[in-house]
Amino acid sequence: MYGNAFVDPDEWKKLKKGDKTPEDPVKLEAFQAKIDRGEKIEPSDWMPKEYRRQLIRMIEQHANSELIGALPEGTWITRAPGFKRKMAIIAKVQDEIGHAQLLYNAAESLGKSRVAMLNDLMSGKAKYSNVFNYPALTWADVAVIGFLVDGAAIVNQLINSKGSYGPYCRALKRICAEEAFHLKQGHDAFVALATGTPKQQSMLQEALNRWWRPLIHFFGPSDKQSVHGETLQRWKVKMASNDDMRNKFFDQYVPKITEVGLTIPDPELRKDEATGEWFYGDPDWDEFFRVIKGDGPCNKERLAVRHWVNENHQWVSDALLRPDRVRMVPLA
Amino acid sequence: MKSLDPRVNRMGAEKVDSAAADENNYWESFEVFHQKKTGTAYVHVGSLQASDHEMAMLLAKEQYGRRQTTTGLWVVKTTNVFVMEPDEIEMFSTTSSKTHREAVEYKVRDKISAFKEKNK
Repeated sequence: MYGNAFVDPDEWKKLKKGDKTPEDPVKLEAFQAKIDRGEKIEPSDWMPKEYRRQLIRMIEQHANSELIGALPEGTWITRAPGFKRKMAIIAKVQDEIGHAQLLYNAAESLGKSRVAMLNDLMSGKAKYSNVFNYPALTWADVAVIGFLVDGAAIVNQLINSKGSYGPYCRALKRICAEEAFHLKQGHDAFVALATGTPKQQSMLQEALNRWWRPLIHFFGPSDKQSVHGETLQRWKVKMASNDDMRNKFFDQYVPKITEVGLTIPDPELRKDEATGEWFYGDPDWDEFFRVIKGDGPCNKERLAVRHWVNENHQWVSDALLRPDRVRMVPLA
Repeated sequence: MKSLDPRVNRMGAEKVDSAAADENNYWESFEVFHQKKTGTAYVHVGSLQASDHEMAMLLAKEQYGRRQTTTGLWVVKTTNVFVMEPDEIEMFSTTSSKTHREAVEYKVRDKISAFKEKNK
């Protein structure tokens, strides 16, 4: 016996081809009213095609980032200094893969299959966070990632967890709870080096110098003027502008970096106390776009690992496939 | 391509350029219900994909039991869940105004007091 929760499997294909038929204005109004009342949109609810498309793109990119993001830190599992740090980083890497699973699932509830998402990741069509295209050269880089990249991700995720799509919000709520440990263990490793020997301190400063620019890039270029962004903010898909999130990050983390004696490698960084707005030196946005297009220090390696996994593990999933399976999107 | 990760170098990943996986190949979707403490209700916590119930349970333990206390897990095939249509929600819109189903609707104290007063 089968339930009735099928979503038309052709719906995603239509979306992919770019269905340009206009939305029903009555449904659109009811949809907006629901969001304005603070209610969540669930997979079986009516939603505009653009809402679905943008959410798939956003959640898929987030899932890809969790999956790829496990690689730079995974590199250091075998060389983590001491048993406790090794246990922490193993648990963290496992969490990141778990987050990818949760997020792929949330994206799947919108109609795109996981296989299609992983294919688009391998072909380079779908993106992941640029920050993971940089290498973790030393253990100090791992400390900077654990503290500041995770810190930046939490700023972003906490804001997005107040969005309008139910399954994404629920996944983010759980992810944020788990990230609290990631952040604390990162801060612990960061402070251990910052308050350690002169050699440890200079290692950490060098790592911070390497990661500062990717961290500024993390929130994306300024998007205050974006007209497209307005609709997405009204639909509560995008909950804050890139600049606002970056500003929040500066507010929370600049004092935590400087209090342990480190120097932020941007002489132009300052806060306007009157407006609360931070100003920073030109972070070379050309580099950001170059890396997004595939020309970063680790893009090739990250995708090569995905290809290797796909090639060498395919037989397992093939062996487990059932001919009588039914394609379903998750319920929630 | 020389990686910082010796495992990546050993696997010879750069030689592999795998073909896209068949998008018609997929596992089934399962819904997961989790019990935090004995005696409490099972709560839907999310879904996952697996080839059968055994694999679904294995993944559920990993995904939903890894970070919280767990006294029980259920996995149910998504296809076996029968779902209310969204437009049926309206049927329940007046539920909270049906005060004749509420205990607070029935107030007897005033009458009893009046009765006692009269018969003193």
